[in-house]
Amino acid sequence: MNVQFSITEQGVGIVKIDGGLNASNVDDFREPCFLWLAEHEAINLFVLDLGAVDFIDSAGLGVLVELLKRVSERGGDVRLANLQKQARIVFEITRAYKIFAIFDSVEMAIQAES
Amino acid sequence: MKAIFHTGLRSTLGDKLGAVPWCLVPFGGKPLLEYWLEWATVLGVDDVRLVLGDGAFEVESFCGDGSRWGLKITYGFLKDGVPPESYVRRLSTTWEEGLLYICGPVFPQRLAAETGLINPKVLERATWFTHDKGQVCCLLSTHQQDIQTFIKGTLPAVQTNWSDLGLEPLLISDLKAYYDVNMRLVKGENRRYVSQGYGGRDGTSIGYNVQIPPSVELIPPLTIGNDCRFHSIAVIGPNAVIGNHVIVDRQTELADSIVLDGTYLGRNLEIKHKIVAGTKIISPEDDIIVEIAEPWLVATLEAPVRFSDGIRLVIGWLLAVLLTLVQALPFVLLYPWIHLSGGGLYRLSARLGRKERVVQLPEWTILAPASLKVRLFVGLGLDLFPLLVRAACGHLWLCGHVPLHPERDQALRKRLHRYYPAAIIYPAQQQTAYSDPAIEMANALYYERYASLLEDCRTVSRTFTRRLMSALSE
Repeated sequence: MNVQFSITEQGVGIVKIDGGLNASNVDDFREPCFLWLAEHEAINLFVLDLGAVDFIDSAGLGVLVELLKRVSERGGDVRLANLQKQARIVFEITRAYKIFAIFDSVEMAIQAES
Repeated sequence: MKAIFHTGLRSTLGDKLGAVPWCLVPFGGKPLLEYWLEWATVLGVDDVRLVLGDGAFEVESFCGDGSRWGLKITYGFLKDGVPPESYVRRLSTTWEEGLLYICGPVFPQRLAAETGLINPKVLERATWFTHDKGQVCCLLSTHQQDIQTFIKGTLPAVQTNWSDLGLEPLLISDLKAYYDVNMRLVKGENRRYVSQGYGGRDGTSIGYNVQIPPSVELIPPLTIGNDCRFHSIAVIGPNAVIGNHVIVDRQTELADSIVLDGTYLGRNLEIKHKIVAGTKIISPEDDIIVEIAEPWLVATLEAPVRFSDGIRLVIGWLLAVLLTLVQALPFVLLYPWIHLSGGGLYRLSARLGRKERVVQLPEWTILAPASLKVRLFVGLGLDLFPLLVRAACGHLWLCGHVPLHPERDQALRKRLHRYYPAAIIYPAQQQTAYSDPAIEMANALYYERYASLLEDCRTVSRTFTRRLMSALSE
Protein backbone atom coordinates (compact mmCIF):
# COMPACT_ATOMS: atom_id res chain seq x y z
CA MET A 1 0.00 0.00 0.00
CA ASN A 2 1.21 3.46 -0.86
CA VAL A 3 0.13 6.58 1.08
CA GLN A 4 0.82 10.11 -0.15
CA PHE A 5 0.29 13.29 1.86
CA SER A 6 -0.06 16.79 0.50
CA ILE A 7 -1.48 20.17 1.50
CA THR A 8 -3.49 22.34 -0.87
CA GLU A 9 -3.25 26.12 -1.17
CA GLN A 10 -6.43 26.37 0.90
CA GLY A 11 -4.70 24.48 3.69
CA VAL A 12 -6.58 21.23 3.24
CA GLY A 13 -4.71 18.02 3.98
CA ILE A 14 -5.02 15.45 1.17
CA VAL A 15 -4.27 11.83 1.93
CA LYS A 16 -4.13 9.60 -1.13
CA ILE A 17 -4.21 5.87 -0.50
CA ASP A 18 -3.27 3.36 -3.15
CA GLY A 19 -4.27 -0.32 -2.76
CA GLY A 20 -6.56 -2.23 -0.41
CA LEU A 21 -7.04 -1.07 3.15
CA ASN A 22 -7.36 -4.19 5.24
CA ALA A 23 -6.12 -5.97 8.35
CA SER A 24 -2.84 -6.98 6.72
CA ASN A 25 -1.71 -3.45 5.85
CA VAL A 26 -3.73 -1.15 8.07
CA ASP A 27 -0.67 -0.36 10.20
CA ASP A 28 1.16 0.86 7.08
CA PHE A 29 -1.52 3.52 6.88
CA ARG A 30 -2.16 4.22 10.56
CA GLU A 31 1.40 5.04 11.69
CA PRO A 32 2.46 7.51 8.96
CA CYS A 33 -0.98 9.04 8.85
CA PHE A 34 -1.23 9.80 12.57
CA LEU A 35 2.38 10.99 12.63
CA TRP A 36 1.62 13.40 9.77
CA LEU A 37 -1.56 14.45 11.55
CA ALA A 38 0.42 15.30 14.68
CA GLU A 39 2.97 17.26 12.65
CA HIS A 40 0.25 19.43 11.07
CA GLU A 41 -1.86 20.48 14.00
CA ALA A 42 -2.96 23.63 12.19
CA ILE A 43 -4.81 21.67 9.53
CA ASN A 44 -8.40 20.93 10.40
CA LEU A 45 -9.83 19.59 7.16
CA PHE A 46 -8.57 16.33 5.71
CA VAL A 47 -9.71 14.74 2.46
CA LEU A 48 -8.99 11.07 1.91
CA ASP A 49 -8.71 10.25 -1.76
CA LEU A 50 -9.88 6.62 -1.97
CA GLY A 51 -9.95 6.46 -5.77
CA ALA A 52 -7.29 3.76 -5.82
CA VAL A 53 -8.64 1.75 -2.88
CA ASP A 54 -10.29 -1.34 -4.26
CA PHE A 55 -11.29 -2.93 -0.98
CA ILE A 56 -11.77 -1.96 2.65
CA ASP A 57 -12.44 -4.40 5.47
CA SER A 58 -13.50 -3.76 9.07
CA ALA A 59 -9.90 -3.08 10.15
CA GLY A 60 -9.64 -0.47 7.39
CA LEU A 61 -12.94 1.06 8.42
CA GLY A 62 -11.75 1.06 12.02
CA VAL A 63 -8.69 3.14 11.24
CA LEU A 64 -10.77 5.63 9.24
CA VAL A 65 -13.15 5.99 12.19
CA GLU A 66 -10.15 6.45 14.50
CA LEU A 67 -8.82 9.16 12.21
CA LEU A 68 -12.21 10.89 12.15
CA LYS A 69 -12.38 10.75 15.95
CA ARG A 70 -8.94 12.32 16.42
CA VAL A 71 -9.59 15.07 13.89
CA SER A 72 -13.05 15.78 15.35
CA GLU A 73 -11.54 16.10 18.83
CA ARG A 74 -9.48 19.03 17.62
CA GLY A 75 -12.48 20.57 15.89
CA GLY A 76 -11.74 19.36 12.37
CA ASP A 77 -13.37 17.10 9.79
CA VAL A 78 -12.43 14.14 7.59
CA ARG A 79 -14.05 13.82 4.16
CA LEU A 80 -13.85 10.90 1.79
CA ALA A 81 -13.60 11.30 -1.95
CA ASN A 82 -13.63 9.02 -5.02
CA LEU A 83 -15.03 6.05 -3.14
CA GLN A 84 -14.89 3.07 -5.48
CA LYS A 85 -17.80 0.68 -5.94
CA GLN A 86 -16.26 -2.28 -4.10
CA ALA A 87 -15.38 -0.16 -1.06
CA ARG A 88 -18.71 1.65 -1.29
CA ILE A 89 -20.61 -1.59 -0.63
CA VAL A 90 -18.70 -2.07 2.63
CA PHE A 91 -19.55 1.51 3.66
CA GLU A 92 -23.19 0.85 2.81
CA ILE A 93 -23.71 -2.38 4.71
CA THR A 94 -21.82 -1.27 7.82
CA ARG A 95 -23.64 2.11 7.87
CA ALA A 96 -20.25 3.86 7.84
CA TYR A 97 -21.67 6.28 5.26
CA LYS A 98 -23.68 7.85 8.09
CA ILE A 99 -20.63 9.13 9.92
CA PHE A 100 -18.44 10.19 7.00
CA ALA A 101 -19.07 12.93 4.48
CA ILE A 102 -18.54 11.24 1.11
CA PHE A 103 -17.93 13.17 -2.12
CA ASP A 104 -17.52 12.23 -5.74
CA SER A 105 -14.19 14.02 -6.13
CA VAL A 106 -11.43 15.62 -4.08
CA GLU A 107 -12.37 19.05 -5.46
CA MET A 108 -15.98 18.68 -4.33
CA ALA A 109 -14.81 17.55 -0.90
CA ILE A 110 -12.58 20.61 -0.56
CA GLN A 111 -15.18 23.08 -1.78
CA ALA A 112 -18.12 21.69 0.22
CA GLU A 113 -19.31 23.77 3.12
CA SER A 114 -18.75 22.32 6.54
CA MET B 1 -46.29 -35.21 -22.86
CA LYS B 2 -42.66 -35.60 -21.84
CA ALA B 3 -40.18 -33.09 -20.50
CA ILE B 4 -36.43 -32.72 -20.64
CA PHE B 5 -34.74 -30.25 -18.31
CA HIS B 6 -31.03 -29.51 -18.60
CA THR B 7 -29.60 -28.61 -15.21
CA GLY B 8 -25.96 -29.42 -15.84
CA LEU B 9 -24.88 -26.63 -18.15
CA ARG B 10 -22.69 -23.82 -16.85
CA SER B 11 -24.50 -20.58 -16.17
CA THR B 12 -23.30 -17.15 -15.14
CA LEU B 13 -26.09 -17.09 -12.57
CA GLY B 14 -24.66 -20.15 -10.83
CA ASP B 15 -21.06 -19.00 -11.18
CA LYS B 16 -21.78 -15.62 -9.61
CA LEU B 17 -24.05 -16.77 -6.81
CA GLY B 18 -21.96 -19.85 -6.30
CA ALA B 19 -23.73 -21.37 -3.31
CA VAL B 20 -25.96 -23.99 -4.92
CA PRO B 21 -26.43 -25.44 -8.42
CA TRP B 22 -28.07 -22.70 -10.48
CA CYS B 23 -31.24 -24.70 -11.04
CA LEU B 24 -31.77 -24.71 -7.26
CA VAL B 25 -31.24 -20.96 -6.87
CA PRO B 26 -34.36 -19.65 -5.13
CA PHE B 27 -36.85 -17.37 -6.82
CA GLY B 28 -39.17 -15.83 -4.27
CA GLY B 29 -37.92 -18.40 -1.77
CA LYS B 30 -38.50 -21.41 -4.01
CA PRO B 31 -35.91 -23.20 -6.17
CA LEU B 32 -36.12 -22.50 -9.91
CA LEU B 33 -36.38 -26.23 -10.61
CA GLU B 34 -39.57 -26.41 -8.56
CA TYR B 35 -41.20 -23.83 -10.85
CA TRP B 36 -40.29 -26.01 -13.84
CA LEU B 37 -41.74 -29.11 -12.21
CA GLU B 38 -44.93 -27.28 -11.27
CA TRP B 39 -45.25 -26.05 -14.84
CA ALA B 40 -44.77 -29.61 -16.08
CA THR B 41 -47.57 -30.74 -13.75
CA VAL B 42 -49.92 -28.05 -15.09
CA LEU B 43 -49.15 -29.09 -18.67
CA GLY B 44 -50.01 -32.71 -17.84
CA VAL B 45 -46.45 -33.99 -18.27
CA ASP B 46 -46.02 -37.48 -16.85
CA ASP B 47 -42.38 -38.21 -17.57
CA VAL B 48 -39.52 -35.82 -16.78
CA ARG B 49 -35.91 -36.44 -17.72
CA LEU B 50 -33.40 -34.34 -15.77
CA VAL B 51 -29.99 -33.99 -17.38
CA LEU B 52 -27.48 -33.54 -14.58
CA GLY B 53 -24.02 -32.01 -14.34
CA ASP B 54 -22.45 -29.91 -11.59
CA GLY B 55 -24.32 -30.35 -8.32
CA ALA B 56 -25.91 -33.57 -9.51
CA PHE B 57 -26.25 -34.90 -5.99
CA GLU B 58 -28.08 -31.82 -4.71
CA VAL B 59 -30.46 -31.83 -7.69
CA GLU B 60 -31.22 -35.52 -7.35
CA SER B 61 -31.67 -35.20 -3.57
CA PHE B 62 -34.11 -32.36 -4.08
CA CYS B 63 -36.25 -34.03 -6.75
CA GLY B 64 -36.12 -37.68 -5.72
CA ASP B 65 -38.38 -39.76 -7.93
CA GLY B 66 -40.72 -36.83 -8.56
CA SER B 67 -43.65 -38.23 -6.57
CA ARG B 68 -43.88 -34.91 -4.66
CA TRP B 69 -45.16 -33.34 -7.85
CA GLY B 70 -46.95 -36.43 -9.20
CA LEU B 71 -44.26 -36.87 -11.82
CA LYS B 72 -41.92 -39.66 -12.78
CA ILE B 73 -38.39 -38.26 -12.85
CA THR B 74 -35.44 -40.10 -14.36
CA TYR B 75 -31.88 -38.82 -14.62
CA GLY B 76 -29.21 -38.69 -17.24
CA PHE B 77 -25.88 -37.04 -18.00
CA LEU B 78 -24.47 -35.21 -20.98
CA LYS B 79 -20.78 -34.74 -21.66
CA ASP B 80 -19.36 -31.21 -21.48
CA GLY B 81 -19.36 -29.45 -24.84
CA VAL B 82 -22.01 -31.64 -26.48
CA PRO B 83 -25.00 -29.66 -27.82
CA PRO B 84 -27.86 -30.01 -25.31
CA GLU B 85 -30.49 -30.80 -27.95
CA SER B 86 -28.47 -33.88 -28.93
CA TYR B 87 -29.73 -35.45 -25.71
CA VAL B 88 -33.26 -35.36 -27.13
CA ARG B 89 -31.96 -36.98 -30.31
CA ARG B 90 -30.35 -39.87 -28.47
CA LEU B 91 -33.54 -40.87 -26.66
CA SER B 92 -35.58 -43.53 -28.36
CA THR B 93 -38.79 -41.98 -27.01
CA THR B 94 -41.35 -40.74 -29.48
CA TRP B 95 -42.77 -37.27 -28.99
CA GLU B 96 -46.33 -37.85 -30.16
CA GLU B 97 -47.82 -36.22 -27.09
CA GLY B 98 -45.40 -33.33 -27.14
CA LEU B 99 -42.20 -32.07 -25.58
CA LEU B 100 -41.37 -29.51 -22.91
CA TYR B 101 -37.69 -28.65 -23.08
CA ILE B 102 -35.80 -26.24 -20.82
CA CYS B 103 -32.10 -25.60 -21.09
CA GLY B 104 -30.58 -22.89 -18.93
CA PRO B 105 -31.85 -20.50 -16.26
CA VAL B 106 -35.34 -19.86 -17.60
CA PHE B 107 -38.01 -18.63 -15.22
CA PRO B 108 -41.53 -19.64 -16.31
CA GLN B 109 -43.28 -16.43 -15.39
CA ARG B 110 -47.05 -16.76 -15.09
CA LEU B 111 -49.03 -13.86 -16.42
CA ALA B 112 -52.00 -14.57 -14.15
CA ALA B 113 -52.87 -16.74 -11.17
CA GLU B 114 -54.10 -19.78 -13.10
CA THR B 115 -53.56 -23.08 -11.36
CA GLY B 116 -55.77 -25.56 -13.19
CA LEU B 117 -54.60 -27.93 -15.90
CA ILE B 118 -54.26 -26.34 -19.31
CA ASN B 119 -56.97 -27.21 -21.84
CA PRO B 120 -55.40 -29.81 -24.19
CA LYS B 121 -57.01 -28.10 -27.18
CA VAL B 122 -54.82 -25.03 -26.64
CA LEU B 123 -51.77 -27.25 -26.92
CA GLU B 124 -52.81 -29.06 -30.10
CA ARG B 125 -50.24 -28.92 -32.92
CA ALA B 126 -48.59 -25.76 -31.67
CA THR B 127 -45.06 -24.73 -30.85
CA TRP B 128 -43.74 -22.14 -28.47
CA PHE B 129 -40.07 -21.45 -28.00
CA THR B 130 -37.64 -18.91 -26.60
CA HIS B 131 -34.08 -18.75 -27.82
CA ASP B 132 -30.91 -16.95 -26.92
CA LYS B 133 -28.57 -16.28 -29.85
CA GLY B 134 -30.09 -19.15 -31.84
CA GLN B 135 -29.86 -21.62 -28.95
CA VAL B 136 -33.28 -22.82 -27.80
CA CYS B 137 -33.55 -22.34 -24.04
CA CYS B 138 -37.23 -23.19 -23.70
CA LEU B 139 -39.50 -25.09 -26.07
CA LEU B 140 -43.00 -26.42 -25.74
CA SER B 141 -44.34 -28.23 -28.72
CA THR B 142 -46.99 -30.73 -29.70
CA HIS B 143 -46.19 -30.35 -33.39
CA GLN B 144 -44.25 -33.41 -34.58
CA GLN B 145 -42.54 -31.67 -37.46
CA ASP B 146 -41.39 -28.79 -35.28
CA ILE B 147 -40.03 -31.20 -32.69
CA GLN B 148 -38.09 -33.05 -35.37
CA THR B 149 -36.74 -29.71 -36.69
CA PHE B 150 -35.63 -28.78 -33.19
CA ILE B 151 -33.99 -32.17 -32.62
CA LYS B 152 -31.99 -31.65 -35.81
CA GLY B 153 -30.58 -28.48 -34.24
CA THR B 154 -32.54 -25.77 -36.08
CA LEU B 155 -35.22 -23.42 -34.87
CA PRO B 156 -38.83 -24.28 -35.75
CA ALA B 157 -40.17 -21.98 -38.47
CA VAL B 158 -43.34 -20.75 -36.79
CA GLN B 159 -44.01 -20.09 -33.14
CA THR B 160 -47.13 -19.31 -31.20
CA ASN B 161 -47.32 -16.45 -28.75
CA TRP B 162 -46.52 -17.57 -25.19
CA SER B 163 -49.23 -15.35 -23.78
CA ASP B 164 -51.83 -17.79 -25.20
CA LEU B 165 -50.65 -20.12 -22.44
CA GLY B 166 -50.79 -17.40 -19.79
CA LEU B 167 -47.08 -17.75 -19.28
CA GLU B 168 -43.86 -16.25 -20.54
CA PRO B 169 -40.44 -17.85 -20.01
CA LEU B 170 -37.83 -15.31 -18.94
CA LEU B 171 -34.19 -16.02 -19.58
CA ILE B 172 -32.29 -14.96 -16.47
CA SER B 173 -29.12 -13.82 -18.13
CA ASP B 174 -27.66 -11.69 -15.35
CA LEU B 175 -27.99 -10.83 -11.67
CA LYS B 176 -30.07 -7.75 -12.41
CA ALA B 177 -32.73 -9.92 -14.10
CA TYR B 178 -32.59 -12.34 -11.17
CA TYR B 179 -33.02 -9.52 -8.67
CA ASP B 180 -35.89 -7.96 -10.63
CA VAL B 181 -37.84 -11.22 -10.85
CA ASN B 182 -37.45 -11.79 -7.11
CA MET B 183 -38.61 -8.28 -6.30
CA ARG B 184 -41.68 -8.73 -8.53
CA LEU B 185 -42.44 -12.03 -6.82
CA VAL B 186 -42.22 -10.66 -3.32
CA LYS B 187 -44.30 -7.64 -4.25
CA GLY B 188 -47.23 -9.87 -5.13
CA GLU B 189 -46.56 -12.07 -8.14
CA ASN B 190 -45.74 -15.05 -5.90
CA ARG B 191 -49.49 -15.44 -5.32
CA ARG B 192 -49.64 -16.83 -8.87
CA TYR B 193 -47.64 -19.89 -7.80
CA VAL B 194 -47.88 -22.59 -5.18
CA SER B 195 -47.04 -20.90 -1.90
CA GLN B 196 -43.73 -21.73 -0.27
CA GLY B 197 -44.71 -20.77 3.26
CA TYR B 198 -47.52 -19.65 5.55
CA GLY B 199 -48.74 -16.23 4.62
CA GLY B 200 -51.09 -13.45 5.40
CA ARG B 201 -52.99 -11.13 3.09
CA ASP B 202 -50.39 -8.43 3.57
CA GLY B 203 -47.84 -10.18 1.34
CA THR B 204 -45.99 -11.97 4.12
CA SER B 205 -44.90 -15.54 3.60
CA ILE B 206 -43.05 -17.33 6.40
CA GLY B 207 -41.80 -20.90 6.40
CA TYR B 208 -41.72 -23.31 9.33
CA ASN B 209 -39.38 -23.21 12.33
CA VAL B 210 -38.70 -19.47 12.16
CA GLN B 211 -37.83 -17.69 15.42
CA ILE B 212 -38.91 -14.06 15.53
CA PRO B 213 -38.57 -12.23 18.89
CA PRO B 214 -41.19 -9.56 19.65
CA SER B 215 -38.72 -6.72 19.12
CA VAL B 216 -38.13 -7.69 15.49
CA GLU B 217 -40.03 -5.49 13.06
CA LEU B 218 -41.41 -7.23 9.99
CA ILE B 219 -42.48 -4.88 7.23
CA PRO B 220 -44.41 -6.63 4.43
CA PRO B 221 -44.16 -7.67 1.71
CA LEU B 222 -41.54 -10.26 2.53
CA THR B 223 -40.76 -13.92 2.10
CA ILE B 224 -38.92 -15.93 4.73
CA GLY B 225 -37.84 -19.54 4.24
CA ASN B 226 -37.62 -22.38 6.75
CA ASP B 227 -35.36 -22.67 9.83
CA CYS B 228 -34.48 -18.99 10.14
CA ARG B 229 -33.49 -16.99 13.25
CA PHE B 230 -33.88 -13.27 13.74
CA HIS B 231 -32.29 -11.52 16.68
CA SER B 232 -33.71 -8.61 18.59
CA ILE B 233 -34.38 -5.19 17.06
CA ALA B 234 -33.76 -6.45 13.52
CA VAL B 235 -35.89 -4.77 10.86
CA ILE B 236 -36.90 -7.05 7.98
CA GLY B 237 -38.61 -5.70 4.90
CA PRO B 238 -40.16 -4.35 2.87
CA ASN B 239 -39.35 -6.47 -0.18
CA ALA B 240 -37.05 -8.94 1.52
CA VAL B 241 -36.63 -12.45 0.14
CA ILE B 242 -34.91 -14.64 2.71
CA GLY B 243 -33.96 -18.24 2.00
CA ASN B 244 -33.76 -21.24 4.29
CA HIS B 245 -31.33 -21.50 7.25
CA VAL B 246 -30.63 -17.78 7.52
CA ILE B 247 -29.58 -15.99 10.72
CA VAL B 248 -30.00 -12.22 10.99
CA ASP B 249 -28.21 -10.76 13.99
CA ARG B 250 -29.48 -7.92 16.18
CA GLN B 251 -30.18 -4.40 14.92
CA THR B 252 -29.63 -5.36 11.29
CA GLU B 253 -31.92 -3.80 8.69
CA LEU B 254 -32.78 -5.70 5.54
CA ALA B 255 -34.91 -4.30 2.74
CA ASP B 256 -35.26 -4.67 -1.05
CA SER B 257 -32.81 -7.53 -0.85
CA ILE B 258 -32.39 -11.25 -1.39
CA VAL B 259 -30.57 -13.45 1.11
CA LEU B 260 -29.76 -16.90 -0.16
CA ASP B 261 -29.85 -20.12 1.88
CA GLY B 262 -27.37 -20.71 4.67
CA THR B 263 -26.29 -17.11 5.21
CA TYR B 264 -25.43 -15.30 8.44
CA LEU B 265 -25.86 -11.51 8.56
CA GLY B 266 -23.92 -9.88 11.39
CA ARG B 267 -24.93 -7.18 13.86
CA ASN B 268 -26.02 -3.69 13.03
CA LEU B 269 -25.75 -4.00 9.27
CA GLU B 270 -27.84 -2.25 6.67
CA ILE B 271 -28.55 -4.39 3.63
CA LYS B 272 -30.53 -2.56 0.98
CA HIS B 273 -30.83 -3.35 -2.75
CA LYS B 274 -28.40 -6.23 -2.44
CA ILE B 275 -28.15 -9.97 -2.97
CA VAL B 276 -26.34 -11.76 -0.16
CA ALA B 277 -25.07 -15.24 -0.95
CA GLY B 278 -22.97 -16.57 1.91
CA THR B 279 -19.92 -14.32 2.09
CA LYS B 280 -20.78 -12.56 -1.17
CA ILE B 281 -22.51 -9.19 -1.20
CA ILE B 282 -23.77 -8.39 -4.65
CA SER B 283 -25.04 -5.10 -5.95
CA PRO B 284 -27.30 -6.20 -8.83
CA GLU B 285 -27.64 -2.70 -10.29
CA ASP B 286 -23.99 -2.47 -11.26
CA ASP B 287 -23.11 -6.20 -11.09
CA ILE B 288 -20.47 -5.72 -8.39
CA ILE B 289 -19.62 -8.71 -6.23
CA VAL B 290 -17.72 -8.15 -2.98
CA GLU B 291 -16.39 -11.15 -1.10
CA ILE B 292 -16.34 -10.39 2.61
CA ALA B 293 -13.84 -12.47 4.54
CA GLU B 294 -14.97 -11.36 7.99
CA PRO B 295 -17.36 -13.81 9.62
CA TRP B 296 -18.73 -11.21 12.05
CA LEU B 297 -20.13 -9.26 9.07
CA VAL B 298 -21.48 -11.97 6.79
CA ALA B 299 -20.75 -15.68 6.69
CA THR B 300 -21.82 -18.95 5.19
CA LEU B 301 -23.48 -21.16 7.74
CA GLU B 302 -21.90 -24.57 7.71
CA ALA B 303 -24.02 -27.13 5.92
CA PRO B 304 -25.33 -29.73 8.35
CA VAL B 305 -23.30 -32.90 8.23
CA ARG B 306 -25.20 -35.50 6.29
CA PHE B 307 -25.91 -38.64 8.26
CA SER B 308 -24.16 -40.81 5.67
CA ASP B 309 -21.11 -38.49 5.82
CA GLY B 310 -21.07 -38.79 9.61
CA ILE B 311 -21.05 -42.58 9.39
CA ARG B 312 -18.33 -42.46 6.72
CA LEU B 313 -16.26 -40.11 8.82
CA VAL B 314 -16.41 -42.29 11.94
CA ILE B 315 -15.81 -45.62 10.19
CA GLY B 316 -13.15 -44.02 7.96
CA TRP B 317 -11.36 -42.68 11.02
CA LEU B 318 -11.45 -46.10 12.74
CA LEU B 319 -10.10 -47.73 9.59
CA ALA B 320 -7.40 -45.05 9.28
CA VAL B 321 -6.29 -45.69 12.89
CA LEU B 322 -6.23 -49.44 12.24
CA LEU B 323 -4.22 -49.08 9.01
CA THR B 324 -1.81 -46.68 10.75
CA LEU B 325 -1.18 -49.21 13.54
CA VAL B 326 -0.69 -52.03 11.05
CA GLN B 327 1.67 -50.01 8.83
CA ALA B 328 3.66 -48.28 11.57
CA LEU B 329 6.29 -50.95 12.13
CA PRO B 330 6.96 -51.85 8.46
CA PHE B 331 7.11 -48.12 7.63
CA VAL B 332 9.62 -47.41 10.40
CA LEU B 333 11.78 -50.30 9.20
CA LEU B 334 11.58 -49.68 5.46
CA TYR B 335 11.39 -45.92 4.95
CA PRO B 336 14.73 -44.89 6.53
CA TRP B 337 16.43 -47.59 4.45
CA ILE B 338 14.77 -46.36 1.22
CA HIS B 339 15.40 -42.74 2.03
CA LEU B 340 19.08 -43.25 2.84
CA SER B 341 19.63 -45.33 -0.28
CA GLY B 342 17.99 -42.66 -2.47
CA GLY B 343 14.97 -44.78 -3.44
CA GLY B 344 12.38 -42.13 -2.71
CA LEU B 345 11.35 -39.39 -0.36
CA TYR B 346 8.45 -37.22 0.79
CA ARG B 347 8.08 -33.61 -0.19
CA LEU B 348 5.73 -31.27 1.62
CA SER B 349 3.10 -29.52 -0.43
CA ALA B 350 0.39 -27.02 0.60
CA ARG B 351 -3.09 -28.51 0.15
CA LEU B 352 -6.64 -27.82 1.25
CA GLY B 353 -7.53 -30.17 4.07
CA ARG B 354 -10.79 -30.73 5.89
CA LYS B 355 -12.80 -27.59 6.69
CA GLU B 356 -10.85 -25.81 3.92
CA ARG B 357 -7.76 -25.42 6.12
CA VAL B 358 -4.46 -25.18 4.29
CA VAL B 359 -2.22 -28.03 5.47
CA GLN B 360 1.21 -29.24 4.44
CA LEU B 361 0.82 -32.76 3.10
CA PRO B 362 3.67 -35.17 2.32
CA GLU B 363 3.81 -36.26 -1.34
CA TRP B 364 5.67 -39.46 -2.09
CA THR B 365 8.25 -39.18 -4.86
CA ILE B 366 9.96 -42.27 -6.24
CA LEU B 367 13.58 -41.73 -7.23
CA ALA B 368 14.51 -45.35 -8.05
CA PRO B 369 11.42 -47.14 -9.37
CA ALA B 370 13.21 -50.38 -10.28
CA SER B 371 14.43 -50.97 -6.73
CA LEU B 372 12.96 -54.04 -5.02
CA LYS B 373 12.54 -52.34 -1.65
CA VAL B 374 10.74 -49.39 -3.28
CA ARG B 375 8.38 -51.78 -5.10
CA LEU B 376 7.72 -53.56 -1.83
CA PHE B 377 7.20 -50.24 -0.05
CA VAL B 378 4.64 -49.07 -2.61
CA GLY B 379 3.13 -52.53 -3.02
CA LEU B 380 2.29 -52.65 0.67
CA GLY B 381 0.84 -49.16 0.44
CA LEU B 382 3.40 -47.82 2.92
CA ASP B 383 3.80 -44.65 0.86
CA LEU B 384 0.30 -43.78 2.07
CA PHE B 385 1.32 -44.07 5.73
CA PRO B 386 1.91 -40.32 6.43
CA LEU B 387 -1.44 -39.50 4.83
CA LEU B 388 -3.16 -42.21 6.85
CA VAL B 389 -1.65 -40.66 9.98
CA ARG B 390 -3.19 -37.32 8.92
CA ALA B 391 -6.52 -39.09 8.40
CA ALA B 392 -6.21 -40.68 11.85
CA CYS B 393 -5.56 -37.18 13.25
CA GLY B 394 -8.74 -35.94 11.58
CA HIS B 395 -7.08 -33.67 9.00
CA LEU B 396 -8.21 -35.78 6.04
CA TRP B 397 -10.97 -38.20 5.14
CA LEU B 398 -9.89 -41.78 4.59
CA CYS B 399 -11.27 -41.93 1.03
CA GLY B 400 -12.33 -39.12 -1.22
CA HIS B 401 -10.93 -36.35 -3.38
CA VAL B 402 -7.35 -35.55 -4.22
CA PRO B 403 -6.34 -32.86 -1.70
CA LEU B 404 -6.46 -29.76 -3.87
CA HIS B 405 -3.86 -27.04 -4.12
CA PRO B 406 -5.25 -23.85 -2.54
CA GLU B 407 -4.43 -21.68 -5.58
CA ARG B 408 -3.77 -23.91 -8.57
CA ASP B 409 -6.95 -25.97 -8.17
CA GLN B 410 -9.37 -23.13 -7.45
CA ALA B 411 -11.46 -23.83 -10.57
CA LEU B 412 -12.02 -27.45 -9.57
CA ARG B 413 -12.75 -26.48 -5.97
CA LYS B 414 -15.46 -24.08 -7.17
CA ARG B 415 -17.18 -26.86 -9.11
CA LEU B 416 -17.35 -29.15 -6.10
CA HIS B 417 -20.23 -28.54 -3.74
CA ARG B 418 -18.86 -31.07 -1.26
CA TYR B 419 -15.15 -31.56 -0.89
CA TYR B 420 -13.64 -34.61 0.84
CA PRO B 421 -9.83 -34.28 0.85
CA ALA B 422 -8.56 -37.76 1.54
CA ALA B 423 -5.61 -40.06 2.13
CA ILE B 424 -6.77 -42.70 -0.34
CA ILE B 425 -7.95 -41.46 -3.71
CA TYR B 426 -8.78 -43.01 -7.05
CA PRO B 427 -5.32 -42.40 -8.61
CA ALA B 428 -3.71 -44.01 -5.55
CA GLN B 429 -5.64 -47.13 -6.46
CA GLN B 430 -3.78 -47.22 -9.75
CA GLN B 431 -0.44 -45.95 -8.42
CA THR B 432 -0.39 -43.11 -10.91
CA ALA B 433 -0.82 -39.43 -10.44
CA TYR B 434 -3.13 -38.12 -13.12
CA SER B 435 -1.89 -35.07 -14.87
CA ASP B 436 -4.94 -34.70 -17.11
CA PRO B 437 -7.21 -32.06 -15.50
CA ALA B 438 -10.26 -33.54 -17.26
CA ILE B 439 -9.68 -36.91 -15.57
CA GLU B 440 -9.07 -35.23 -12.21
CA MET B 441 -12.31 -33.29 -12.67
CA ALA B 442 -14.23 -36.43 -13.67
CA ASN B 443 -12.86 -38.35 -10.66
CA ALA B 444 -13.72 -35.50 -8.30
CA LEU B 445 -17.27 -35.09 -9.63
CA TYR B 446 -17.78 -38.85 -9.66
CA TYR B 447 -16.75 -39.18 -6.02
CA GLU B 448 -18.88 -36.20 -5.01
CA ARG B 449 -21.88 -37.92 -6.55
CA TYR B 450 -21.25 -41.49 -5.38
CA ALA B 451 -19.56 -40.92 -2.00
CA SER B 452 -20.73 -43.69 0.32
CA LEU B 453 -19.39 -46.15 2.86
CA LEU B 454 -19.58 -48.92 0.26
CA GLU B 455 -17.62 -46.85 -2.24
CA ASP B 456 -14.98 -46.15 0.42
CA CYS B 457 -14.64 -49.82 1.34
CA ARG B 458 -14.33 -50.67 -2.34
CA THR B 459 -11.66 -47.99 -2.84
CA VAL B 460 -9.60 -49.16 0.16
CA SER B 461 -9.75 -52.83 -0.78
CA ARG B 462 -8.95 -52.16 -4.45
CA THR B 463 -6.11 -49.81 -3.59
CA PHE B 464 -4.25 -52.30 -1.43
CA THR B 465 -5.10 -55.38 -3.54
CA ARG B 466 -4.02 -53.79 -6.81
CA ARG B 467 -0.83 -52.40 -5.32
CA LEU B 468 0.11 -55.79 -3.95
CA MET B 469 -0.76 -57.61 -7.18
CA SER B 470 1.21 -55.09 -9.17
CA ALA B 471 4.28 -55.45 -6.92
CA LEU B 472 4.12 -59.24 -7.11
CA SER B 473 3.71 -59.31 -10.89
CA GLU B 474 6.77 -57.10 -11.37
